[in-house]
Amino acid sequence: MRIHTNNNAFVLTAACVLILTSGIVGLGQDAPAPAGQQGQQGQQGQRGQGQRGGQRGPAAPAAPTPRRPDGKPWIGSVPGQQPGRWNGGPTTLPLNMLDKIPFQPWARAVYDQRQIDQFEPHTRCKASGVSRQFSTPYGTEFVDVPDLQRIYIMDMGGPNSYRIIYMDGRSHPANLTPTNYGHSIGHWEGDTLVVETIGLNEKFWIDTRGTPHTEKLKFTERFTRTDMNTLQYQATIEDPGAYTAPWTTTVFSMRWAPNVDPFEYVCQDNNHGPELMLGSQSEIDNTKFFVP
Amino acid sequence: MRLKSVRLLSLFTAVLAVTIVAGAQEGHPLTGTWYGDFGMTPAQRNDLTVVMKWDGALTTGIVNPGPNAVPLKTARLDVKLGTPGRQAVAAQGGNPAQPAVPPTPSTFLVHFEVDAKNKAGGMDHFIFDGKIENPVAGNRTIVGTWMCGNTKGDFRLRRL
Repeated sequence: MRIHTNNNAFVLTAACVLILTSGIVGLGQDAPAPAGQQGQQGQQGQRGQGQRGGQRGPAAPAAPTPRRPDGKPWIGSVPGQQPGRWNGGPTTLPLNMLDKIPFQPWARAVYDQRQIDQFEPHTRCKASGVSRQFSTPYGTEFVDVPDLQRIYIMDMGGPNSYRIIYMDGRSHPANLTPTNYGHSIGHWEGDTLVVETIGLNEKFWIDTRGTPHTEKLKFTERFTRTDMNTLQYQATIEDPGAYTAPWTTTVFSMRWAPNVDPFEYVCQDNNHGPELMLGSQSEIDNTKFFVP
Repeated sequence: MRLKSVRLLSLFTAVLAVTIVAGAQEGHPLTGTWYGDFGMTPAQRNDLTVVMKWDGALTTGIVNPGPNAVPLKTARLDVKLGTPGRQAVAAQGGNPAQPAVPPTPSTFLVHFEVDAKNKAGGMDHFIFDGKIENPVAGNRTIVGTWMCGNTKGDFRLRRL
C-alpha cells in the first residue's frame, strides 16, 4: 500500500511538472519561429530586428509628424491609415556612456557578469517592462486612445502582454505591488510624451544587456516623434537601490515600419532558448525543475 | 482512500506552490530567500533558511523565519570587480603581437552574523562567510564556512 501510494505520488508529481513545464515550453508546431529569441544584442540605430510582414529596404520618405485633432502627435498608428510599429529601440541603455554610469559596486559587478552569463528573463518569455519593451522581436506598437486617455504599448515579441500609460492626470497609487510593467502615467510637454513609471519588480531586465535595477526604480521616458518615421527616445533612471545618482541615457531613435498588422505571437511556442528555460547551461542548476 | 486523496491533493498543492513562489529576482544578488544547511561534517547537517533584503544601503534579514526567527545581526555583500579582457592583436608594423587576455569575473563575497539561543538558554554568535557561485542566475548559491566560538564548519545555501 505504501509503495502504491508513493507511485501515485510520483506519477502525480511528474504530471504536475509536465503540465507546468508544457506551459512554459509550449508544444506548438505551427507558430512562427521566434527568430528574435536569440541574438537580440543588436546595435543602436539598427532597423527592426526580424521584422515579420514588414517592409525591408529603404525607409519611405519622411512625412511630417502626424497629429491628432488636438494638435498633439500621434505616437503610434494614425487612425484612418494602415497601422505600423516602431523598430530598433535601445538594446543597452548605457550606450557610449558605460564608464559614466553611477553604478553601486554590486550593480556594476552584476552588469559585468551579465555580459558573460546572459540569462535574461525575456528569453524565458517573462514580460519585460519599460525600455525593454522596445527591443523585442518584431517591434513595438503604440495604441493611442485619446477618448480613453490611455496609451497602450504592445511589444510584439513579448508574452502577449502590454503596458498601459494613463494620460488622465492621475497620480501613482500608494502602496503599489511591484509588477513587471509597473504603473505608468504620462503627460505632454510640448510635442514630447513624458512617461513616469514606478512599481516595477525585479523579475526582468530593463534592456537586453542586463542593466540592473531594483524595486526602488523610477523610470522616466521621453518620446518625441520628430517626423512620421522617427521616434526619439530617452530615459532617466532614478534607482537608489542600484545607482548612486540619477542618470539619463543618450537619445535613441526608433524607426517606423508602416503597413504591418500585429500577428499572434506566442513566446513559449517553438522557443529557441529552451536551455534557458529548463536550465541546461552549465551555470544553471540542472537538478531544479524550474529556472526562476 | 480518502486519506490517499488528501495526500495527493497536498502534494499537488505543494508542487504548485513551489512553482508559483519560485519567482526570479534579478535585482540585488542577496535579496530573496535562501535555503540550505550547515554543519561540522558532511554527515552532520542542520537546516538553514535565511531571508535577506537590500534597501539600497544595507542588507537586513532574518534566519529561520517563523516563531523562532532571529534577525541578522549584520549582513553584507563585498564585491570585488573583475577586469575586462582583451582580444589578441596581430603584429603590425613595428608593434609586436599581443596575446589575448581573458576577462576576470567579479567576485561576490557574502558575510553575515546572527545570534541564536542555545539549548542551555545562552546565546551563541555565528559568523558566516561565503561566496556566491553563480551570481546572476536565478537559483544562485552561497557556499562558505561558519564559526561559532571554536566550532567551525561549512554551509551551502541556494536561493529559492
